[in-house]
Amino acid sequence: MVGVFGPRQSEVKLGFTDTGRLNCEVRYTSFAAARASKAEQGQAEAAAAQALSQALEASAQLERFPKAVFDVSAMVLEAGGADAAVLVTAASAALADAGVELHDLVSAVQVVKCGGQLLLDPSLEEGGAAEGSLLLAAMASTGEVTHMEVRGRWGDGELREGLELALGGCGQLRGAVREALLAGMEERAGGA
Amino acid sequence: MASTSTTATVADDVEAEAFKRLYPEQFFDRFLGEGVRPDGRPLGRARAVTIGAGAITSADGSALVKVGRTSVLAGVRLELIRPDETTPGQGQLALNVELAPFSSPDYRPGRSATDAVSGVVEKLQAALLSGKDTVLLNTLCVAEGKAAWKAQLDVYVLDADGCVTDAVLLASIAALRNTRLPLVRNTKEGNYVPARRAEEGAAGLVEGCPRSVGLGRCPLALTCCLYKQHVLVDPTADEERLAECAVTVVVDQGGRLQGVYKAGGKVLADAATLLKCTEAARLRHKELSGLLEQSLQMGAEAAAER
Repeated sequence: MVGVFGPRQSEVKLGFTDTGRLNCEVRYTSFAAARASKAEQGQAEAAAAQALSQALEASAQLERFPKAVFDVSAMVLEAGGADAAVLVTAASAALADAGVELHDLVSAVQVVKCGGQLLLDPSLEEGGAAEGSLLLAAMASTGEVTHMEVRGRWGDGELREGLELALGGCGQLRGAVREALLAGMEERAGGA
Repeated sequence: MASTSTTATVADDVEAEAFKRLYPEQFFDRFLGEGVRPDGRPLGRARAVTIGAGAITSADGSALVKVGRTSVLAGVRLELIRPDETTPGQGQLALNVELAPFSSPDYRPGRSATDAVSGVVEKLQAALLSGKDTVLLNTLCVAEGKAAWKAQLDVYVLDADGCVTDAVLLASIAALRNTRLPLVRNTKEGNYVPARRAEEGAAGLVEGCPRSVGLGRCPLALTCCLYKQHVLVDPTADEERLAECAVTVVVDQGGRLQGVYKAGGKVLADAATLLKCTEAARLRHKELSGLLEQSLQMGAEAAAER
């Protein structure tokens, strides 16, 4: 689940900026994943928040909101694989739902390499067993990539194949998010 | 002609919205004068409830509860511990309630999310752990003095639209009852470890270890708001904000009172009002416990299929 607040005024101590900022925060529920310690969970949260802000920054028209901050807060209820990708997609949808002007919706997918095969949107077990993983966040209508993380060993051909697979996934996902947003708007218009 | 009528309704909508913002009390009074509330309910009706037991598969027990728009997710995580020396025959239950940042428009970043719900934790603690006959901690014991379960119950408030306490308590009870304790194996070294599913029936299993969390009672809560001379059952966040005071009543399955909370406020409640709240809470308990059983059954069936 993701919520967006703002714009609100930036804190003075952070200095002046003539563009807006995204302030991302990610929390995992304590039972979301089997984790050893609180510290480990804190690290995962910080890493996820950083990836989230990097993936979203380029998509929001932040130059329209000088001195403002948007708070994006996400909570992972259950981690069932490809969390980072789902976080980005959900946060982008929440930003759009909040009426923040975006260049385009960002959708993200994860592709893992498992025994020579490429798997789109892996489950937790598949993700754990993978030899390499690729996280791609893209604005699908223009085909522009906002954030990409590749881990493990990838050959040239494999990487290209993985990228194509991921971009296709992003495109599909963007359609679904768009439809959901439209349905949400219609529902609200009908309810009012 | 059609176009003029639509613009008229749009203007009406805007005006109603503005009226609500500027004069919330008058806005509210107009509804109450007619005997209804802004969301269309009569004063005495509680909101619809959905309970999803076993909503999170990675937790040992969980439940997602919605009361109107208020949504609460509770999850239980189990851990084998050596019981405390003062209580060798008991397990432990740790409670924690957290407010998700996006749950309420009142939330401000920087403020600790736990401050706003500290009252809820207190009530939950009192409902589940005081009196020692609600959650039976001795049913969490595996081997006296050697091994016991520690249940970490974390409750996350995802959307706070009034009556958070009621939803938190309901979700906690549902999650605890949804919890299945795994079998425990005694290793050659004398350590107690949870047995994996494949090892069921293998050697070294501890005899007669508990399989579920024992609950002696089933406390559930209902909050009513006192607003002027009216009693509003199960208020939304807007109504809670307007009303001067709220009364939360906790009753168990026999209709016995387990807690009454009236947190100050300008309005004084007389005995008749409190009785009315109690009666409403008893009715609500009947309604909720039916739903709870149904949902637990469905959750158990879904778990058996996996």
